[in-house]
Amino acid sequence: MNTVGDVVKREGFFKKFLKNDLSRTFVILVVLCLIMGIARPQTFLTFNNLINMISQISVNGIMVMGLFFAILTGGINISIGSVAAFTSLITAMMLVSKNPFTSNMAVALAAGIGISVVVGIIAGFFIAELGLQPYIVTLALQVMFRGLTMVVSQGIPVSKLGNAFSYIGVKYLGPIPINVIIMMALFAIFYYVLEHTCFGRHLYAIGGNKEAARLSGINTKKDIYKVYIIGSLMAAVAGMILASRVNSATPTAGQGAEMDAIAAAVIGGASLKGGKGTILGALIGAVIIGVLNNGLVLLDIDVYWTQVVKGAIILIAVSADAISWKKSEK
Amino acid sequence: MDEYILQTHDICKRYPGQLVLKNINLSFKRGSVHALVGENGAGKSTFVNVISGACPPTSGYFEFEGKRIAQVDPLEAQKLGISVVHQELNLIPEMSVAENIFLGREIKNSIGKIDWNKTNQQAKELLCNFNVGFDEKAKINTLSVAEQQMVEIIKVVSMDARLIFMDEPTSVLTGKETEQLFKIIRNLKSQGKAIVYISHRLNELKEICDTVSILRDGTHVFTGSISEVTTDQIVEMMVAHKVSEQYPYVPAKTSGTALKVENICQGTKLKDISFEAFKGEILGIYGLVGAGRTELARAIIGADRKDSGSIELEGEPVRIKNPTDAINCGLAYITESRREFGLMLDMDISFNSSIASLRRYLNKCRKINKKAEHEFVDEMIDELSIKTDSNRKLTGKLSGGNQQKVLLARYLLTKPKVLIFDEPTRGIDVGAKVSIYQILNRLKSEGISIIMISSDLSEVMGISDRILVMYNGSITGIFNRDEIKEDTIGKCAFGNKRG
Repeated sequence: MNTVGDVVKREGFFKKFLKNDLSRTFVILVVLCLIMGIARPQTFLTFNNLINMISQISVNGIMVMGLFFAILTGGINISIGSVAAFTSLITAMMLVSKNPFTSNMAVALAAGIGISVVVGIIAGFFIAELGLQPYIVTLALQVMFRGLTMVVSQGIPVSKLGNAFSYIGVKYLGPIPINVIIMMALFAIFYYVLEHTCFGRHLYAIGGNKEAARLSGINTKKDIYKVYIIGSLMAAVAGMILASRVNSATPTAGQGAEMDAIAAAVIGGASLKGGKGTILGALIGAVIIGVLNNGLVLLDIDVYWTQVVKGAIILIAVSADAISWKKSEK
Repeated sequence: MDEYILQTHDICKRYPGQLVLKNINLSFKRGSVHALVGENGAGKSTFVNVISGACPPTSGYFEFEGKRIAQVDPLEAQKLGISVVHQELNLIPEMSVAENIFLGREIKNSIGKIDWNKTNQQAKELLCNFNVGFDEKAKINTLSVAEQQMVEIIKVVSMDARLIFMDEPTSVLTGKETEQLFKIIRNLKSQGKAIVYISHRLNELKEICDTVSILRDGTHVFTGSISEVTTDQIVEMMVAHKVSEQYPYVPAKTSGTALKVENICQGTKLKDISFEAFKGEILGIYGLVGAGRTELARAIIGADRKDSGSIELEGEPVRIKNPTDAINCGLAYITESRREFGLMLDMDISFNSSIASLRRYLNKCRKINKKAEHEFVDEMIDELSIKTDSNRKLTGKLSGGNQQKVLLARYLLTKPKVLIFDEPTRGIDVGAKVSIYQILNRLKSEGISIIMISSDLSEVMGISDRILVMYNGSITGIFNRDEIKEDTIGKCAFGNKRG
């Protein structure tokens, strides 16, 4: 009898482990790294390559974390790529301007950040007050801000952004790139907010059942404003890091970034219906996409194949989720 | 041909923990209008669903035109000739009358293209038969509700329905439109169709029906010719006193006013509502579905906008703009649809219980103290005897009664002064019901003012200290416990003001 019980228990643990979205995402990451480590032990598993990879991931990683808030409430934000391009362009133009006030780095950064907050408020207004669908509202903003970026830049990149600006995307603090430190600091803040504060709980409640959340005394409108402000804000931060990394704000920057971000969140266990997932999962999702991008280059595989593999990984991640849910319902 | 088109034999329907239809034996004649009446939850809709195939009976069978049938699916029922005209119409607003009538059985030519000439021609003939005032090419959304209803009726007749259920057909119609509907019903009757007419408007029954059957608590209690009974007798039979032991009433020790509501108005739904609720009492609010009880509760807690009206809590005027304000000043509302608007079903008991009272568990740096939170939740689980092995169990996996208790825990943790509980025992089994009543009694002894909205008259009478009756957005009577009589309350619920 004892042995039977033990087997059941062990199976239970294993199943439980796989049923947990976070551990499943982690398994995908470990398997990918193992494959890469075995295939390219000399190049993949070097300190330089890993640091470089994480540095590349930081742009998508920060966007994913911002987007995750919207997804958690059952919303979506597809304007983040355009917002990243527009805000970083404005900051870049100010940096290269002749006026000593506007070319001040703090002022230029604040302007970009300020614009992103306004965009977040606009999105929040249409979604919370008018009850429009987040997808539609942010689609409109996406198109508008890509257009505005083109209007302002006339399609020409703004380059040579100065030494000070390179700190946020290129320079290191000790062995660690500053942009990675920014990402980890943001992660720590968001993790705390979502795990330990009322605001975090409220977002899970809104995603779980919006009307129930409202009847529980949650000010859902206020929270939705905050969610879209955070989304825009993170897009702006990501946009600036990207501009700093390439020392240039390009009008086409961030095109399709929202799709990579959604993919990362979903791979990390978030549900587009809302109320499900963790910010750690979303970040691991971003790392998985980063490892794919990096790994397929190291393996000399045609870069277009990356798209195919990314799509397949999304399908695997979400169907594993669906299957485990179906099983648990039985 | 057999005189009866449909005869049911010992039809039973059981939902987990509840027997909603008990050995129903009913017979319906051709060429007659048969009224089916009963309180909300008496089993009328379930009966219709069983016969029309929306849900299978647990046991029993029925004979339709002499054929013995155990169960059908909706499509088979339609093919047999059984149709339902629902309260909510199933028409597609952007399509024409003709398109709607032939939806799903389009008339096609030899290559599969829809033959619009033929479709419109046939629709026109049908409309002519019923002598209606609109065109077959008119779009549904240009028609009045009454006209849409006629389209629905014509549609089922065109499918050769011979037994037609009509669920509250006049609830949305004006007096004139009702007359028109009755004309059509008489027309159908003369064609030999059997009509089952479900309505809360008892005075209409005399005008249009031949026979009446009464259901109470899933039991068939009466069938007879409509001319044999008075409306008052029908009400009495619908609400007659049921088992009283299951309502553990304790006398109240009231002390002052907890909630005072004055002149609340909201469009056509709430008309100048004023009442008081005392500390330490259970105030039952009774009425039929659509009487405005839930609307009143939602207006009070600020979930829906109200046009006018003021609210006082313990003598202090309060401004409540949204549910957040309501909870902050000690006014809690538990919804009637717990799965839809109450619980986050994918979240655990702990999450669901603490979500409305998170501020209580914050430490100095506004961080949620999870240990304190779990202690409070576990205490509630004990106090309300929620059956679970841990507070991490998903609420979606709990039984109805335990789900209801989790919701109760959520709002009790906000320390309410007034608790509005909408349909506290809907869809939960008898044992859990009694346990909910005992909890309510305990809360009232602690001085909480409880407002209990319910469609179950015996429950309202069994457990309330006072009863407020609503009809069509107005209060039609307020009764103290010693004045409670089921027939007077029943009459108030059907619109007669208390004399």
